[in-house]
Amino acid sequence: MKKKQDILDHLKPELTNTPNNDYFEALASKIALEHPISIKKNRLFPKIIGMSLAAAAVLIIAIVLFKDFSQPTTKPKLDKELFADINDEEISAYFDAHIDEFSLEDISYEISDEDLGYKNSTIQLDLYFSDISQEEIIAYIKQEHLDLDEFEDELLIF
Amino acid sequence: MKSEEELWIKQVISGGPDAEHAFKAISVRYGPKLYSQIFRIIQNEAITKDVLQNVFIKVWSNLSSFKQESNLYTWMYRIARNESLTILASETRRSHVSIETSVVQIISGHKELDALTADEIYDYLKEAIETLPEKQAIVFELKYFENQKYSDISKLTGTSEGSLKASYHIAKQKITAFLKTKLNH
Repeated sequence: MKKKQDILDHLKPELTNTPNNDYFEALASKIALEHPISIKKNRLFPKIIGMSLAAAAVLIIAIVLFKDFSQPTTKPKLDKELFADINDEEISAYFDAHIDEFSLEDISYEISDEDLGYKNSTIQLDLYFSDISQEEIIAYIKQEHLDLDEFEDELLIF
Repeated sequence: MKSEEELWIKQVISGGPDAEHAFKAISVRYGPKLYSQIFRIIQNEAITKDVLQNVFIKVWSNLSSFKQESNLYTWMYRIARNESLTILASETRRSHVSIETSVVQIISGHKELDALTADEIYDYLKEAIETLPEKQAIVFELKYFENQKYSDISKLTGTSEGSLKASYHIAKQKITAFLKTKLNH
């Protein structure tokens, strides 16, 4: 019995006439010439250069920022010898006359808690919350779901 | 073959003095197969050469991004297939493609096939191949059109012969079903 043939068996593929190897070699050379290797190298170098520049930029920014933030927050102590011939009354008078020129930070640095009569910061806190217990404060913070980080600046005032 | 390919890829990517030599080797090994593959889609020698050049430029320029998850030939086959279909679509829109050679001949004796021209049935066949998954399309093209041995296709694609035979069998079934549907309408 003759086997029933598939549709594909009724089609005869024609082999394609492909060019010889010289054609493909020449084509490869032409492409290599027209798209020089330096371009391909540059594909790597821009990455390296780019990354280096980015790293350098980050470093510079970091240095600048670090420098800004690392400015000594501690002011040099007043040189007693420098002010040896100026008495306390004169200094005090100068401060009174130029008080607006000094920042809170300057003043707070130069004046200690002891100078202000506070033995420690708890005493100062007690000035404000003397009639509220610590438990009540904590309970309030929990009840209101307050995030203390958000009040960092305010809390530092105390 | 794989290690040789890997060496060529490295040489091309490194861009050293061996890059062109390695690219030539790649071109000579896979160029004829890609040319045949492209020609079967385009059916025009001049445009086939243009498409092949585009394919080679893409291979040369993008080899560094080739992940090597598939074999080099499979990657190049994909580029050639996409490039061919893109160019064919644009050239057809401009009516520039003149079919120079039929890719298949009809062997008389099949009632439905005898009512069609070779080019008409080949258009259906091309359409059917485009519906196949890549692996099945590759094995079908290499086996059916080029009569390649499974052992050679296996080296080319990095797929076992058993898997290739199964893929070819499934591809033939799908294509036959597709052609039957077309011929009955």
